[in-house]
Amino acid sequence: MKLSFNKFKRLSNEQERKIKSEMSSEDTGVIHLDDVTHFYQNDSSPTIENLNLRIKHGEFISILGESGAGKTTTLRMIAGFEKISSGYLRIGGQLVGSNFLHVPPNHRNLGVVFQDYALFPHMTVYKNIEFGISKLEENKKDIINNILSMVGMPGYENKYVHELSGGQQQRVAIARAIAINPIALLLDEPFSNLDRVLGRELRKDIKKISTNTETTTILVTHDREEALAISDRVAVVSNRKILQIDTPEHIYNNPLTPDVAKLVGPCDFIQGNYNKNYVETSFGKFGTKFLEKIDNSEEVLVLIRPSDVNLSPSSTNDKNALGRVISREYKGEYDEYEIISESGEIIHSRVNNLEKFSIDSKVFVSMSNEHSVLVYKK
Amino acid sequence: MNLVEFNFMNQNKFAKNILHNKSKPPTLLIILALLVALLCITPALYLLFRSFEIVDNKIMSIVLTKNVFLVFFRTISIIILVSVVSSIISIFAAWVIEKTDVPFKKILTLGLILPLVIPSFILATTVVELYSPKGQLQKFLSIFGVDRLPEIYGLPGATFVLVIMTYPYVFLIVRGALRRLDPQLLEASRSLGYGPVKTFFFITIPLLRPAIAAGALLVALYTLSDYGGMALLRYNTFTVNIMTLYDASINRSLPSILSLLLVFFALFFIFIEYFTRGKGVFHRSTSGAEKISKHIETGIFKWPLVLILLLIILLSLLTPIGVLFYWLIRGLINGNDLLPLLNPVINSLYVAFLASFFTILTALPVALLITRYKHKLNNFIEFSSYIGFGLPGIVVALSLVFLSINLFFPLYQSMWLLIFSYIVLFIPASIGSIRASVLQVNPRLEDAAYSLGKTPIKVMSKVTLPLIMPGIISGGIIVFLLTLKELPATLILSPIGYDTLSTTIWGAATEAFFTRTGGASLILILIAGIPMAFMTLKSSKYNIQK
Repeated sequence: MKLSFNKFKRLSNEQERKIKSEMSSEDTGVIHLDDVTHFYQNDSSPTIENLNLRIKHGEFISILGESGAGKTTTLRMIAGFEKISSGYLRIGGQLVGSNFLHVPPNHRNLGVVFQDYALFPHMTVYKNIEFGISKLEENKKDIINNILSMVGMPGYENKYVHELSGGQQQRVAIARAIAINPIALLLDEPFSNLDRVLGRELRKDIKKISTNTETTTILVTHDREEALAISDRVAVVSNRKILQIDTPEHIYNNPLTPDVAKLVGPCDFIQGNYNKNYVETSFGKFGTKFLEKIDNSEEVLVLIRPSDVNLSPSSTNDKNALGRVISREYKGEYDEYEIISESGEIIHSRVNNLEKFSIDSKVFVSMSNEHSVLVYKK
Repeated sequence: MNLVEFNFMNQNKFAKNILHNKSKPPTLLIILALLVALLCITPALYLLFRSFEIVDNKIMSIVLTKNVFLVFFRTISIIILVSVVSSIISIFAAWVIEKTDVPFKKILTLGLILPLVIPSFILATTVVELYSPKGQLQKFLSIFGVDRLPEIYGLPGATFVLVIMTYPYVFLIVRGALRRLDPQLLEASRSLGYGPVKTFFFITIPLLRPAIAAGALLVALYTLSDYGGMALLRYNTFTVNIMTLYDASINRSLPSILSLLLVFFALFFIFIEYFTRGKGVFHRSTSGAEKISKHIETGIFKWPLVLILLLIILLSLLTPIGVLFYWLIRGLINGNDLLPLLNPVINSLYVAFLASFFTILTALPVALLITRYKHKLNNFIEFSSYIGFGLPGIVVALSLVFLSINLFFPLYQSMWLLIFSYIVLFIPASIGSIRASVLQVNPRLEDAAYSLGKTPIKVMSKVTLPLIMPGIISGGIIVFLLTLKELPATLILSPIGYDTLSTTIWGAATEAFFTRTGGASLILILIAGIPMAFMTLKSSKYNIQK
């Protein structure tokens, strides 16, 4: 897909381009949320509390969280559908929202893609895309055709919305959003109404479009796989706050808190006793790393990822084999075992080998990666 | 004739297909529904047959006179005028109530809907009192040196009355459509650079088009069939003309021919509405969770908007009621006789109760059949039972008069004939109401009852009927209200000496007995207003906004 955004960029946008690169300077960011708090009318507790987020030009950022965490509210605040109660929201270096100022959505030039596509049912695909483009624009037709082929929908101009499938509708919705040449693209759970295969295909295409056109993109999602797969950075939101913002790899390998760890991947937590880079648990002694300062022989919470847990067989009476298999599920690519320790703690293991362990057999537990085990202060 | 439910039904085509039972409908249900359908279509068919009989050149030369064309022109112009003004008022009011942050929404909504219960002939008398050249308004304005207002009789007064009478229906339909409108569509428009006003004209209005068309159709049909208001304001439309000819009873054939023309007129509007519905699919794009609709912040326009709504309520509800009180009190002080109103009240309640009961009874098999089952007769049954929706009351009444005189004389001047006309006229409204509630009942519940060994009759009485009771009750209330207000059919068909509230008011108003008009009208408005207010407040429960 070698179609660059510049091809259909309007002449007048030279300046816009300049502004965009200016505002991408490190100190401002294209979109900058500075200590933003949001209350719904009549609600005593905030939906978003002291949010700080700085998004750079051309960056693809995901806001990951469970429903009710406040991620959609964050997106709606940036788009201008919600007023912020305190703090400052800047787009392109300009203040657009605070407790004394609210620039309405139609003056923010942000492309929003909605969960339910929100295509106008009384218009054709062409009219939908044309809707946001300036009336003064001369090569509307070329622009629209270009965008349609970019989203993989050439030749669909004259279709009505209800004649399209869900995936096609979402493609048109993306086309409509980028047609206004937005400062940033805001995606609100855009794949949640599509089946998995279709969603994966579409998200690859979105990533491509975003990269090729250097469009700053914010994706709100509850799907960790989605967030980790396409983002430059992931912001993990829980309980009205951003817990951690980082690259997908870093956030997966070094989750700052147990909550973040739970949100970015399957995990188990067990008790442990920290001692000189090792941690003693009811399943044995593992090498570890820690993110905060921890004293020797301190009681800690140990994070274990099932994909790191290796099992090896033992004779039934081996006293050193500390785990016992209590269930096994065949998952195709791997087997998932539930292992219980003497003290009754349970961890999961995803083992990808030919060896099968039967229920109640004793197993040795080891870690495939010396430093994969993380510990947290209690 | 109540399009509110009719419209709701159309919105549910999708749901209807899902909920259809694949099994064959019980034979008894088909027979009952078919009987009802035949009953409903009888007046229209009889009129058609009779017209063929009596059409000859002499009649046609009478029909095609200049006078008839004038009547035709008058009718068309008031229909267009009333439809346009009514639609604008109700779109504005519905938008303000549903989409902005104005306060006192509940009470404002109630005030906007309640004019529904005031019949046109009551409105007309109060309008004459208030706005005639030397009326109350002129007396008030004389302080400012105005010593004569323009003439109220004719088009201006008739338009005013019919706008007041019809806008609440359009308001209800448009408000319903606005609620179902996906708020994401409006947000999408905002994010694409359109302000609230542009969004309103480019997105909201086009999406509301089907609802507006349905509302305008209702307005057109009401205007076409109104007798009382038009006659009192001396605006000679088709309906008024037919009544005058019938009263003069020189020639029985002429009114039937004109009635037939009136029916074609109504069909014409129904066709227009059908073809303006358009191709786009307007239901919500997904079944996903209900979206929270943000209210537009109106800022400094908030109180002006409330004031405009209050002005509409003042003109359509408060001043008419004020005038009625004024007459009543002035009359009582002057020692005027109120005359016994007890009999008309009892008669009205009795006949309205009977009409509700029988209409619901006849509507039930039709509603159950066409909502629950697929049958090759469904289309015929549906069309026939909805025919009263397009038939002006006067047409049904005249047809039944001729029918009874010529074929079933014992029925002539009997209460049953009157009830029959109410059934034909109001069954579409009650079918719509019942149908809406049947659609909400999952047919799997009935299947479950069958699987637990219950007979069809037990299933019907223990499961289906209790579940659709709300629809039955609201359908009954609607028929009750419509019967109380009905004038032309009641005037023509009620047995001699059997006065209802509406005929009493009509008599008093035409003979200028203001005290009695005021008293009887207030009683009618009270009787009709209480259930209406109850229903309005109850239905607004579903409008919980975060």
